[in-house]
Amino acid sequence: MKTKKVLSIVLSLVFAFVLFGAHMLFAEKEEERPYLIGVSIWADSGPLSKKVISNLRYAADVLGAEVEVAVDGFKPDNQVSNIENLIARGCDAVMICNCTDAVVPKFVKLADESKVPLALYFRKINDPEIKAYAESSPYFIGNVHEDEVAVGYSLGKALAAKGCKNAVIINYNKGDTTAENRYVGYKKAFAETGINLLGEQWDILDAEKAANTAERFIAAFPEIDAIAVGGGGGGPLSGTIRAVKNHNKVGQIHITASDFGPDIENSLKNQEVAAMSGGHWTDPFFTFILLYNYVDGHPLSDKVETITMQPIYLTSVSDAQDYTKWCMDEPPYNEEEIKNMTVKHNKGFTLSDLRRIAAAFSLEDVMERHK
Amino acid sequence: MRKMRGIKKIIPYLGLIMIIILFSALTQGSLITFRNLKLIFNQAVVLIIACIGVTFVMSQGSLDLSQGSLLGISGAMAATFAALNTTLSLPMALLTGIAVGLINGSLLAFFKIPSFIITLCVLFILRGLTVIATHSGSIPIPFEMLELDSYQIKVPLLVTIIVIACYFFNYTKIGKSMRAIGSGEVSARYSGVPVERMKILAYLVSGVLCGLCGWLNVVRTGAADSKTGLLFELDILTALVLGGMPLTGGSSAKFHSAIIGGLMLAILSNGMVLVGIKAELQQAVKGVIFLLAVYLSFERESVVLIK
Amino acid sequence: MASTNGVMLQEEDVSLLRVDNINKTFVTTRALRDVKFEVEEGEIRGLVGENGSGKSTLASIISGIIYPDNGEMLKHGKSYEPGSLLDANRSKISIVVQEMATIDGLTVAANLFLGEEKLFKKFGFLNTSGMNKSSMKVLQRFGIENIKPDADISFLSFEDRKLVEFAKALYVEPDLLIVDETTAALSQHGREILFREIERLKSKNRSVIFISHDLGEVIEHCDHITIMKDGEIVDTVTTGSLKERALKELMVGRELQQSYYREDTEAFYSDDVVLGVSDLTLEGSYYNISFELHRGEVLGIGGLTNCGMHLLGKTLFGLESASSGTIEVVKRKKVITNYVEAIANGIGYLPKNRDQEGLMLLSSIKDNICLPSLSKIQRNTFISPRKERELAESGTRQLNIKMSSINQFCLYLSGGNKQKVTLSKWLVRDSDILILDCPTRGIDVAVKASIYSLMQELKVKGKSIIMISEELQELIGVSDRIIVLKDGRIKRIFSRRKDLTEEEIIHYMI
Ligand SMILES: Nc1ncnc2c1ncn2[C@@H]1O[C@H](COP(=O)(O)OP(=O)(O)OP(=O)(O)O)[C@@H](O)[C@H]1O
Ligand SMILES: [Mg+2]
Repeated sequence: MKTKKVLSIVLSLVFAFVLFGAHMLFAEKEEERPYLIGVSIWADSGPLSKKVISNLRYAADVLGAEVEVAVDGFKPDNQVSNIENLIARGCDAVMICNCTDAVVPKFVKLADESKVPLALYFRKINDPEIKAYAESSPYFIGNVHEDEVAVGYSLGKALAAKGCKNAVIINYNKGDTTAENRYVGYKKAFAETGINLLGEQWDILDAEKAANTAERFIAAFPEIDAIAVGGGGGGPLSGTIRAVKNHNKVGQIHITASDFGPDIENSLKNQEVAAMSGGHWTDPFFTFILLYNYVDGHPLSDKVETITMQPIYLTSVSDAQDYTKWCMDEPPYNEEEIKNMTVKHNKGFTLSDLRRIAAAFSLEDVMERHK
Repeated sequence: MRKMRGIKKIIPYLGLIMIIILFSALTQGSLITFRNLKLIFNQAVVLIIACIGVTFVMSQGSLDLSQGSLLGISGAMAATFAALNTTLSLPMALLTGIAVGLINGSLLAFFKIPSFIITLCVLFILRGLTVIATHSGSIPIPFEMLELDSYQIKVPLLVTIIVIACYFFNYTKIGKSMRAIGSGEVSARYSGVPVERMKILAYLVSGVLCGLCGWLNVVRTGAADSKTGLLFELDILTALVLGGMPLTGGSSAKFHSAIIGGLMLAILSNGMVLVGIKAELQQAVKGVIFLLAVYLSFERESVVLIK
Repeated sequence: MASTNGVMLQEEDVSLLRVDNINKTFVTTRALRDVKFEVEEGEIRGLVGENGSGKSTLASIISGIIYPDNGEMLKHGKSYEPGSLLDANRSKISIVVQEMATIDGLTVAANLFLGEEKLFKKFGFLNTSGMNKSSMKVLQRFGIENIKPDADISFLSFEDRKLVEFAKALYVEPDLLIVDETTAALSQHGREILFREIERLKSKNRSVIFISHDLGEVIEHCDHITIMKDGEIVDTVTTGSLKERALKELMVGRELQQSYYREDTEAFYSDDVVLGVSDLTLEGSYYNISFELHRGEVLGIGGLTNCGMHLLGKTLFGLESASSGTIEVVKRKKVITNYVEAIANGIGYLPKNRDQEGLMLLSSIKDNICLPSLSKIQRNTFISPRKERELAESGTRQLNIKMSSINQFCLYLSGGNKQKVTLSKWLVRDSDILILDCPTRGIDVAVKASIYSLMQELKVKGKSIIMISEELQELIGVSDRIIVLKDGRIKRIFSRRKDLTEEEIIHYMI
């Protein structure tokens, strides 16, 4: 009994020492260190997220900064925790691809409280109230996004060009702004070109689920000749392709997809995919540039800015070869170009320059600059 | 034998200290900066409160796996009703918790189906309801409610809950009866413990506290989402086992398991992020630690199945 | 076996089992000290001693269930070190343990052949019907064919479960069978089966170690009796003309009073009725039971083990609901329908199946004793640890429970001391009405005596006791009235009188 008490006292003392004693030992050091940009991302595996991360790391290297990556699985609680953790880790700025508009106010609040700038990538705030709330904050810098309605619309048109008449849509999270906007674009294109939308399925984020869903659609609708894959980072596309192959319907069922799959060239060559949009992993890069300039003391704007960019569309094998060569094997923006996007290295750089660069991004653009 | 048990008693404390020291060293101290400690507290509050609820259930040798979805549905209820009137949100979350607790408890008490099966089914059902309630997306809450996510509210709340729950667990007939059920349901009944009533009560406590957690969580993230609370039940189970809670319950179930375990898991998660361990690896690390904790705390004498 | 002197000598050398200088310590309890012990071929050896004297520990060591700290064992002169019970079985030593050893949820057959399933494996599958057939044969051989091999063992009565264990131990065809405190769980019929088989073993020149607190039984059946006290062997005596009283004194180590039953020979209790039972029926178990229990009365209930008296006990405590009829606590005009009400109205119940119903084995003695009394010691919901401790200490002192502390788990108590804990929790609660089902099962003579005098004390204080028992002597010895049940119906109610004999009661029992 007695020894137990003594033991517990000793333990509490040790505990107290560990908490406070060690705290003193390791007291926060205030020294020169590179800028640290925190990135919360849905995963650190999968083709899209991997490319996003490596591209950001490359840019950070070039600029002598660092990125800190935290994975959130697109779960709201994790996203909030990640932002908290990244801020606590000492990040000078944080960027996130929010899973829903609804969590943005909390991010903004965290940013305000700790006076750390925040920006979004791949996202646009649809909800006007939340948008207004975010824009009222001094620490919300802005967001970069693709014109997702246009993406859906162009891919829908591509299906029509193949002569499709009966389509289904396999999309990822309902409530996700990007997914919803692509969906709107597809529907618009379908309506204009007279394609019937036979069915839709949401919340598909991985290859397995996508394959099952596609199989069910093919079984339910024999007349099906088009499957639009809304996104999800490449996994859903490969699952859908697998299902179509299993049913020996390659060439009869045309697939369009946002987010490139793992083997772009072959899937185009074998006519497994009619058209794809992708390459938008450069989007977070522009968010990064926005934040870098802000942290470096040269904010590109004193307002909340939204930058819109276009993804790359691939419809042929040669497109795919070019894409691999110029965008995957080499960075789409080289050292000099990246440096020139910062006020630090390029005094006269402005927001409109950045907007122009982002808007111009395309396969041709990259090839032209680097050829 | 007795010595072993003595050591087992302090393993959770040792584990906590070791984790703190390890991660302090690995992060060059950033784990234990005041700012980060505040953060850990913030992230641990919900976990600890939920663990406290489940402690009552586990002391009877039962499990409550419905918590993850309960967190989701009570959050969804809170957010839905907050849109009508912010003062409705907390009562609605608590009511949801109470209702689910009653259902779990009654099913266990009267149909005599093993608790992990019942609560697993309830987990699935509630997840479905959560997806429906959030239209498989998410529901925002009014911005002003974000202000409720403050230490001024959470610290006193947590302390009050700990004090009250600890009192009931250790110093009242209720707590002792519950542990008696874990030690031997039949003999507890033969000693006059109203077994059915106690089972329902335990799930009620677990439910209402989880309902509270659902509300806290919504206030923290600003939204109720269809995915909110996914795998939360496993976090709770891991935390409790890390804290030394025996899966069989009974007289060796200790109240401090909830707090120690909750802190340990929160520090572990936070520390692994700070150190920059890959997400997949983090899951694996948690799994290994869970296994280790179960191994260390397993009472070989009491090879009783979970009721 | 006829033998010359020379052969005798040789036989001495190679006695069936020889235990040499065995020691065993559990944490702080020295359960065995330098135990030396020999069993010859063809003998029935009695092993007696007070509760906690180390009998079961010795038996467990011989049968490989636990290991000694040091010392050695020889079987037929060869070193014998069983690593497990199965190991011991292979060396032809088997045991019927004191506690319940069958496993709930398995069938009788599966329990019988636990560990031997490979005998019935066919292409990797268990041949259940083959196993059931073999079981049937085994059960038939012991005259307990009323037990069905494919029945789930948890639905069997306590006695039948014990008999299954016994059959399992015999199936090994042991050279040495150990029977630890088993008769206390058996009715007359069960005991007859048991002793018949024991005599049969002896006739085949096999040996038996027989542990019991029923000294009369020990004297009747054993050739030699070894007496243990505090972990040591005090003496081994040849039964011959040994009297029970002499054996008792050897065992307790002091002189005993003449008789441990109450002295008076007439029923004596108040006219106030405390418990009124009217027309109680539980289909398939007992029918139209009506009686009144008075203040200060000890009411015995006797009969064959399956006459319904055990279930009647449970019903009186509200654990079973009767098909019809009422149980009323007269003073409070309260009809009892469940156990929570029963306890609240001052009824206490000591179940027969101690390890499963009476005790939480993995809880401390303190927790066990205090559990029914929590509402008594709480003050505005608060239960002070000091009060709990005091309550438990007073309970353990009253019954002289042998333990290392009140925080010890009940699992580690000797059988008799477990029984005392079960009794203690109702004593400390100060219940008005005690229903005791086989209260002295497995308790040594000294404690038995103190329990009887305790019952007497309670009676004088105005408490009422219903004692269900299979021991007629005990019933006659302490009851004011005895209700005899047969096939679930009251056959006769005897009032206490001087010349009441067992025969008279048995006459109504069967
Ligand atoms: N596993 C154990 N751990 C600790 N103590 C034990 C354990 N088993 C037995 N003991 C202690 O050893 C002593 C001897 O116990 P044992 O069971 O051999 O007594 P016994 O002679 O069989 O008594 P009874 O007549 O009551 O059955 C007791 O004091 C008991 O408390
Ligand atoms: Mg014993």
